[in-house]
Amino acid sequence: MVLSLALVAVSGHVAQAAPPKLVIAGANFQPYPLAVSAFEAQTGRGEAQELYQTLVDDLAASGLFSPAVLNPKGYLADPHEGFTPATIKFARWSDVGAEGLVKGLVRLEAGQVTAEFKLFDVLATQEQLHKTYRVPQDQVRKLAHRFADELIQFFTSESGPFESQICFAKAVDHGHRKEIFVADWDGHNQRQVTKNTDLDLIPNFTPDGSAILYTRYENQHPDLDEVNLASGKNRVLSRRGELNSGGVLSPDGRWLAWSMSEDGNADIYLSAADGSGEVTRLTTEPGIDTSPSWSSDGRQLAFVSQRGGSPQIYVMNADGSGVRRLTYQGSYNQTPKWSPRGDLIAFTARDERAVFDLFTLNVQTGQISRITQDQGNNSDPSWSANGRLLVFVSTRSGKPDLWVATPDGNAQHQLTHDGSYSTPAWGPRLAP
Amino acid sequence: MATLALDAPRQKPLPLPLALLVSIGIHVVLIAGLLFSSLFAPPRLTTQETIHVKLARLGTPRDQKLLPRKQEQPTAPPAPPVQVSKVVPVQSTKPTPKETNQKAPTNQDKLKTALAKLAKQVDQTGQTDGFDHGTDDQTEGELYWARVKDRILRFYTVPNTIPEGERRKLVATLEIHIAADGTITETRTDQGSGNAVFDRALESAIKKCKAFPPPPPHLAKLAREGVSLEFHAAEM
Repeated sequence: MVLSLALVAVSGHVAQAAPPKLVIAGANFQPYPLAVSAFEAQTGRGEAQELYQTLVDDLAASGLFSPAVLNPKGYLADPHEGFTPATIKFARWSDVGAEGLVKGLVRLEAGQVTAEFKLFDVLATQEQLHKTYRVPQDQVRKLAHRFADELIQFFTSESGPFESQICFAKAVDHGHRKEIFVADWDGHNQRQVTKNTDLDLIPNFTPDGSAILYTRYENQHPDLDEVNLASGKNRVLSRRGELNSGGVLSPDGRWLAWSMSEDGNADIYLSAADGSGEVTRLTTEPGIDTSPSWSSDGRQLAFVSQRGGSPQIYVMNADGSGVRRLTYQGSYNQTPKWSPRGDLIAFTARDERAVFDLFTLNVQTGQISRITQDQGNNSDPSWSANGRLLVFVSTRSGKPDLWVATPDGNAQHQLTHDGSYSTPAWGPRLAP
Repeated sequence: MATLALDAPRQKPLPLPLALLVSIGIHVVLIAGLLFSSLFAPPRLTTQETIHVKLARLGTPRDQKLLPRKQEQPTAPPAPPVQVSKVVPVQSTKPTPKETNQKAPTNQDKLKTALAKLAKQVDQTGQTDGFDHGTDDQTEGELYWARVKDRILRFYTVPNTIPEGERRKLVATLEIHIAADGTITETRTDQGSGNAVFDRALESAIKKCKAFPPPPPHLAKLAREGVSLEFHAAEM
């Protein structure tokens, strides 16, 4: 931490005339010390417990809140203390380092769960946020995600990622094939969306979250398909050439970029969102070009190219002009995913130990930072809509499971435990 | 006159062996005197801070073409920033190696004893990180405000919930009043940053400071009447 101190008028006789001004810069940014008290259950103790745990898991995964203060083991306050500033012993909470406190009241009536949440400022001993929700009994987790997003919104003035969904390819039928699934961001409530008995891979949400683009090996030919999440209806977007994969729609939903192989050489192509009409070939260099990823403004595409001899991350304008190589470190860089914030590209790279790990690339400075290290193989990152989290596949627990991490890698949490996952993609935030 | 002069008795020069002996004797006395004075003369006062340096051999620089590795996380949290004083008083004799058994005093022990005696003669009042010959008001004032700043920085922790884009814009000014014993008697936000989380973090930092070192007499009135603190979230 670099700090600067300006001492204005501190010297000698002048100091007697004017008050000194100390200029202090360079704060030490740390996770916010937020405590979450066990929720009081008037009825529905099980729902209250699930609500509490889901909320705490969301907050811990965000990387924004201190894990030590979220841990209830050290709490000193009476868990049955009151729900208003006058009845809360704030000193007990400040004693465990908390500056914020979440309390909840849960009631279960006629199959409906009503939850009342309050956020308190421990230092100011004031109530800051008060929300009440009512949902069917089987949607308790959704309710927790909603309040977690409310807290993210309150503290960061940004939308939270916890009401959004993820999609992924998952091995089924004893690993003989892979199908596309969607789930809540935390891997719960999994739902199979393709049931075609083919090999389905590399799913991506459409910008409005209504459908998923994916690569389908129908009759051993990799096509680009789209499945509608509401109706389950499937349609083929491209069956051209020898291979179609990695389809992604532009942020405005108008253009489809994907990798297509003709004459044994994969290149990046562009077409209308439904794959119809004229197709524009964006890359023409010899060498494989794959894995396009749109910039948040839709003006550029990051992609992988082997034109330099090894897979590296490149960027080009959406019309194929202005191709620029971004990575010069590492000899096997792939799966670039441009952050919705526009500043970073997350990618998978094989390091000198022949291990795959996640990295970020600062588009402006070229600075590469490591997210994962010495924890199995880690691959296929995908950004949450607010650019604060990445979902990815890691084998650190022995099998390929879904994990989530902050872009600096400081907070990493395991989402799934049944080990059969690949190519996850995070969907847009859906309106509640 | 010339005859008289010629007739005066002539002194005989010393024989060579005797002259050599006298010369050697004089040199021995001089060398012994120098050695004696170097052992028992009072040590020269130093105004240089003792700097302990651990030397480590540099490893081979990482190949620039390789992907970066994360820095190993330190096992203990970093120590809070400590103000490095310009001068360290010579009376500080720490660290003192422990004596394990009784031995006859060596020359080094004698030197330490002499130093200890000398230290007792030095006026030890004043700040431990003060100057040997005192300071003027200006220097003392700067040192005091630097101590105040150091203490605030120790608690200047802001939640990372604040978006990075916003951090560069956050500036707030607080005024604090410091009593003669160093305690903070009043805190007032003169100009908020517009971000409630940041402003609360500043108030929290001041609360956690609780007290500063007592201000020197010539600054007591100033400290009591209020000091302006201008906080910037980002580096300047």
